[in-house]
Amino acid sequence: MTNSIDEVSDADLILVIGSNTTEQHPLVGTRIFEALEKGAQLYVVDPRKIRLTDFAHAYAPIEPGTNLAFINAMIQVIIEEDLVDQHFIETRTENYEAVKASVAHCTPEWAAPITRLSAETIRQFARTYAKTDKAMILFTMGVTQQTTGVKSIRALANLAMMTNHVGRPSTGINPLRGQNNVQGAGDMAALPNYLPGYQWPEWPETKERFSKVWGDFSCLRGNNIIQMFDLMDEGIMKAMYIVGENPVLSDPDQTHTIHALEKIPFLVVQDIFLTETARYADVVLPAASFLERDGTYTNTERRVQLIRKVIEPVGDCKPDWVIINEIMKRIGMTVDYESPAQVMDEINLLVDSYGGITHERIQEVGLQWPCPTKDHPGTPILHVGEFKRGKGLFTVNDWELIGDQRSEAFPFILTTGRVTHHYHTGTMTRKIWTLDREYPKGFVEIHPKDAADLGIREHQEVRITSARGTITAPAMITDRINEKTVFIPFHFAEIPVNRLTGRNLDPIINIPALKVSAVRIEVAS
Amino acid sequence: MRRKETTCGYCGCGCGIYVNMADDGTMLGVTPSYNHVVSQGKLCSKGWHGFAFVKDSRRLSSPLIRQSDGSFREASWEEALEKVATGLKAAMTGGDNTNAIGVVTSARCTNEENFMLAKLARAGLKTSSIDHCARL
Amino acid sequence: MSERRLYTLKKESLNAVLEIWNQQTPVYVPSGREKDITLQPMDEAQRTEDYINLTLPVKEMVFEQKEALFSWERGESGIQVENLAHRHAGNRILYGVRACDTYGIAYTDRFYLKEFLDPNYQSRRETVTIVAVNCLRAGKHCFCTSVGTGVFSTIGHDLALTELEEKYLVEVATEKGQDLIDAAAKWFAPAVSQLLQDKETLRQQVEESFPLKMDLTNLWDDMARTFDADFWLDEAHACIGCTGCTNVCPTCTCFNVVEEKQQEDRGERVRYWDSCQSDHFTRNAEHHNPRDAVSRVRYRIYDKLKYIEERFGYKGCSGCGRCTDVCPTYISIIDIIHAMQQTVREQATEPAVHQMTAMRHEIFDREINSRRGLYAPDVATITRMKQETPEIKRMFVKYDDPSLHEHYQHKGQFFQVTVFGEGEVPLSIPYGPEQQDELVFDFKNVGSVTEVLYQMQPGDKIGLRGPYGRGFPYETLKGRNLVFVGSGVAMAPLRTVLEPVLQHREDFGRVEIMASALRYEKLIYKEEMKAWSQVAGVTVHYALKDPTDEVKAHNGYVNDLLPGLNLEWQNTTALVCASPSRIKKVAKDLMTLGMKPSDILVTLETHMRCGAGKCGHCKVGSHYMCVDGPVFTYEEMMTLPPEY
Repeated sequence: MTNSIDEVSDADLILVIGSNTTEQHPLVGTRIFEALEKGAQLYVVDPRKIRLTDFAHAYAPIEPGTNLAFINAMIQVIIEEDLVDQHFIETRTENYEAVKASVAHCTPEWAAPITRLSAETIRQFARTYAKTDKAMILFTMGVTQQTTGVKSIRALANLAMMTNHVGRPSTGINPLRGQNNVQGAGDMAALPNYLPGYQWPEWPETKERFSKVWGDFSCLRGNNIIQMFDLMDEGIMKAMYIVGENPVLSDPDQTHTIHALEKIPFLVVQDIFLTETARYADVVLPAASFLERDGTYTNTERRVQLIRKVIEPVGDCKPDWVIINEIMKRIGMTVDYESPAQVMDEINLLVDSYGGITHERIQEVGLQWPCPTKDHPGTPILHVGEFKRGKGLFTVNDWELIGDQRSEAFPFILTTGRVTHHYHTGTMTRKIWTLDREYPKGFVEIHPKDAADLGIREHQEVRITSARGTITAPAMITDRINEKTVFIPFHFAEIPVNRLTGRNLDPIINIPALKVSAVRIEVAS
Repeated sequence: MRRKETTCGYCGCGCGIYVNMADDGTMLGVTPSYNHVVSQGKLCSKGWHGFAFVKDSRRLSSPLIRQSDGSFREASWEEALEKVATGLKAAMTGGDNTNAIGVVTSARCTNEENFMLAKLARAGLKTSSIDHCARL
Repeated sequence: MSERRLYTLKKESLNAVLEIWNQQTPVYVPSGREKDITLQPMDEAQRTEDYINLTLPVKEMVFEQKEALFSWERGESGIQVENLAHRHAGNRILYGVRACDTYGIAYTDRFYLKEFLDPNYQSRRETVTIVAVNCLRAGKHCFCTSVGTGVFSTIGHDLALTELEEKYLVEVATEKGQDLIDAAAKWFAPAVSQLLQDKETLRQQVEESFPLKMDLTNLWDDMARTFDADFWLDEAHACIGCTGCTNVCPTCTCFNVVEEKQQEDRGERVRYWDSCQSDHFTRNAEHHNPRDAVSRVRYRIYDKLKYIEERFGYKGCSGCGRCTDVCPTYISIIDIIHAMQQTVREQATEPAVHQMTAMRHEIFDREINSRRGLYAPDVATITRMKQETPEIKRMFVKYDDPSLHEHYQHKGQFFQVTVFGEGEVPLSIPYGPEQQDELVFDFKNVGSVTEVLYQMQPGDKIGLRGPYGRGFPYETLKGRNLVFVGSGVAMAPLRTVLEPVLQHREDFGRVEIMASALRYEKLIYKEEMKAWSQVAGVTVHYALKDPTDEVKAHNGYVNDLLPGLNLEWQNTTALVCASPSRIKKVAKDLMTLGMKPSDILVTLETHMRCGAGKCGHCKVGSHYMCVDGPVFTYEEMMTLPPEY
């Protein structure tokens, strides 16, 4: 998030795109309710009539995968109607003219058939967003998990910059991170293209800085998870160490994933349960859960917070850091960490934004990075006065349609996501009686009209087929989903929706288009 | 009864919770933290109930090693860790291993653990192929 | 105690007194900062006086968030069951409790310690001494003065302390409280009753200072008039089912029973706090859920403001305001009360009938048959299994301890049947009192427990608790014509009364048995019904969707057959066991024919978990289907809110 969670409650307009906030980030949802109480407007863009739409002042039931066309059309309206903040553009940004030229043809009338929204709806969203002083954009995977994911986010940045909705309280573009420490994992460079702190491996000073502490190290842009599974499948990758992930359920194209896992000569999986992925391992290492170890998590507002060991690890489990430390030693590294706090000392040294964040300082309240020094108070809002790179860069993001599209064979669009009471692949939540009781099994959401056309009754088993595979799921008939669109949550191993999703990737960062798959629906005999 | 403060391990909100325990260590439940900057005494169903998987009888409780017949057997940490180290070292080419070895880590791991894994991958295994679930 | 003894304690002596108490019994004191206040052992925590209230109600010390009920172990000689009600119970002094919470304790005492006595609650409650410290200031959402439970503690404490300048006025409410005084006698000085005046003056001052005041005089009438009001939909849209509101409530008592299997051959049954605000709290194994989103959210408010008081005579809401503090979507009981009052002011609507008509509450203490306390089952062995229909099995069981059969009294309507390691299900008892040494159950494979039960073989062990429930009133049926209406497996509960009726045929008028199902194969008791139809004055009618050659059957609904019975309807009692919607249709037709609603007996089988009116899952309005029912008259059924 460029801004902080608390600022949501002071916004005048909250534009929610592809985020089921009240269900998936309930405490951000709380701030939306606070804002509504103070008179804020709520605008929602989603192919599903999510809970928030019951409170929304405007709702755009968008066609999955077309956010970029929608955002570019908003930009076109704002330019056309001269709602831009010229001063901000001139003093704080560059490359605006290129964007202006690139969206000239992106009228609402152009976007309407692509997004399946009315031109008037698009105009309403554009005008209200541009004219509202404190307008905040919240989004999640509903924007990113598509072939135009990165472009859409860059387009959102264009939108925010041209209307001066950056670097001020209760504005900004705010991705809500779906997992407890997905922010921190990125910060710590559990990423192939970065070293910790988003430092490019190519930068000579980075190499020098890390060499001093790490010694000789691999300093390339490596393979991402999608590419790794391709390399496994091709027989090139020989060993894989998976910690706390369950790609069999969470990654696209399950058949391919399983094939790769079967093929790799040496697979280590470290997890708390024998997950669907762990079943393919050569060695399984039992890890401690978040209640059985110490360390820090970084939340969606960049706040680094302590987790504490509440109970001793169950059975013979060990905290991940202990296990990793052991493996480091056994492959010949000269390290021996005694505690997570000691690891944090090394992070302080190598990652500027974490430079001043020590375990000692965050005993009571977590600190928001960037926090470069031990006396720095942390940073609630990014890009105040100046962007991190200096001038804010407008980027041209032309709409294009790649990946799955509706066809005669596959006339429906499948989109995936979570339900309120479950989390990711359900490894934890499906073992908790309260949460499991609410959703003991998966389902496919289908519009009443489509159900009637196809002769599908409530709870009836439905077969869903994509170019990749077939699954069956009981029907949940609801007008909360767009027509000709279906939704299936991905928590349920017995309804593995990622058997249907494809490896249609965003060309820039290779995020799979999990939110957009063309499928066919029929009654299972 | 004892209580220990920690951070909820589910979504990116990062709410504050106290975990309540009986004197013998049995986890009883959760008390929300009003002082916490994000949650301010409020929690969702995962915050209130999410602790309950921890003592599930299906938890892995010992390292497992695959046998020639395909089944797993329980193993000691010593044996399992040696096998891991041997297996990883066997895949190392002597040069850069970016295409030979992969590390997939998790948003469930702490910052410290992710940092250690980045270091293990790049400085230990000499591979730049490390990733996690941010895209998924 | 006849008189309330009074003492004073100098403020500076308080620590000394707590130390003395703590030497004998661990003293738990409020600890923490700002709003995070919890009771902690004083040996380990710094006591604070700067607090409004505890984050969680003191209830958590006597009804813990998670409690073990019993353990079981399968050995050579069968299954051993051990009651674990006392685990984690221990002497404790809880210091610093506020009036809203002591009121809550007074209510939970009433709730758990009467009728079926809850052994877990009893074991903790007996070992706890509660020292109230009266509030001098209000929190943001405090409204105890509006409901009348505060501002000072009047009930539920053993000792109550009120700060009067440099000293505390100490009021003794119980013998336990007096024991505490006696243990530190030298610090306490007997007080004159004049101080009670000072306390009263202070109370009025504090009460005045409470910002939130509501006039709740007409609340029940307002509620009756807003049962179907539009604002409930907004509340339902907002609620995300976090369960926080019920978790922090001093008077919420519901729990769920969960199997925690350590090994194949041993495990524990535990209970966790449960919440009516979970969508599926009331859903049964057949996926019938009597509450939708609106009725779920509304139920909590009605329970707190009305149903509890209606049934138990205690306020169901102590006005602590915690549920409002804790809600992530700002659902507020205070705002809802205002919405009710405003709605009534602005648009006059007729009150809902079921909110105006009081129905009997026959509450009486019952004997618990199990020798190991309410929740621990007695072990029994399956002797025979029979496939009754393609979907229904009949199971014959004997208690492992034969004397249990001797002591067994035939009253009640169902048993709670345990599959060890899997769970518990309520099963009707389709037999008469003539069965002396064997119990028989007919059940359908619909959920996870019955699925395992379905596969069980003679010799396998199960657990039994019961019988529970109010059965059919056999004596009042004498001399009357009887119409039995049962669909599918629902014929089983009717058999409980049908058997004795047939054995004493001369005591009754005509007997008409109406059996309905989709297909003949799905009917239960096919052979029995053929035999019953041979008895003079007994007729068996079949209403089937699909035609059959086996018997003469009507193709259609059972309702179609009723007019043709030509009974003297004024002297007829109908016994109907079916889905609520079918019950309503049958009752309507019977009343058209001339029957009184009080002569139509129905069974309402909601989601029963504990069988003893404690766990809360089966509650409809102020009634627990498992102890007040499942048998009701149709007249009574109509006075219940339509949430069954």
